[in-house]
Amino acid sequence: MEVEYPWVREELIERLNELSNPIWQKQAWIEKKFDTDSYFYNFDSMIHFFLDDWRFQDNIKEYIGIILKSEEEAQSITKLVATLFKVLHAVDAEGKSSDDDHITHPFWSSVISAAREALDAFSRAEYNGFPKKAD
Amino acid sequence: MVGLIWASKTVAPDDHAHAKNVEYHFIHWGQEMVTEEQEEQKKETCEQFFARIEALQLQERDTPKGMKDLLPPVRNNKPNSCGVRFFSKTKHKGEGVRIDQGVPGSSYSSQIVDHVSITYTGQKVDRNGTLMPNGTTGNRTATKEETHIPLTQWSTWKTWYSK
Repeated sequence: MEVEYPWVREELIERLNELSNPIWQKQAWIEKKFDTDSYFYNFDSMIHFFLDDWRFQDNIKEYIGIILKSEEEAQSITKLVATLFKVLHAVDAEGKSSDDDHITHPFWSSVISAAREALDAFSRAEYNGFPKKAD
Repeated sequence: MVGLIWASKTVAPDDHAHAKNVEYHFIHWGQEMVTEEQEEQKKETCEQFFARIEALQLQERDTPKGMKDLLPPVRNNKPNSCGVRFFSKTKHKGEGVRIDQGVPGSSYSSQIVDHVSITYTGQKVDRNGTLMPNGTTGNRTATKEETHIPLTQWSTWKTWYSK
């Protein structure tokens, strides 16, 4: 299945990779080891991508054919977005707001797990499952 | 008579529609005096920002054409992040404008003032009104300066997505 905006799908997969990688998050968002003036390399940009610019929390199935290839992908993104909201609200309730407060919050591990599950779903849609190992 | 007298209000000439930029001057025995408390009161809350930005869609002046055709505004989801998103009617394609409140102490100059981020055909639009290159390559190489358009500049654009 082809999608209408493959470049947005590419960005989505890249962001899933980053959400699934706590070492990268620490280096990029907290320690600012990469190009810190880039639009891409910051926590706010990640949140805006999922929750504001694309609002994957709204009618996710509308994105199938535009960015997503399957219902399984849609469900995985829905789950990921729910975990992001859980962290945002928990951090806010504790009166905190820094990037570090988010990625060190106990709930953040559920974001990482959900991002990894989403990547699995994308791999299955992209390659129709992982290649079988040789016997 | 001792007391504060409201003497005048001034409006930045290029920004007259924005209440944020309206400054009140107080005279105390002939000298201008603004207390810390008054300074604090001048800071715009998120609610005030939302009201000011959401009103842009309803006005003809200082607003690019086509704003009225966008869907009603929705607010940013990150707590304490004052921003408003206007989607086009093809919302499922992510098209629209996000306007975020300026952060006075930000280390990024593009974020000190109120700024606009535009997505059109799934691509970001830069300060020149040009579509950024497709994909993550474009976004990774783009700086915040390029993707964050000062609200005062964007207000003069012909349409919400082109200069």
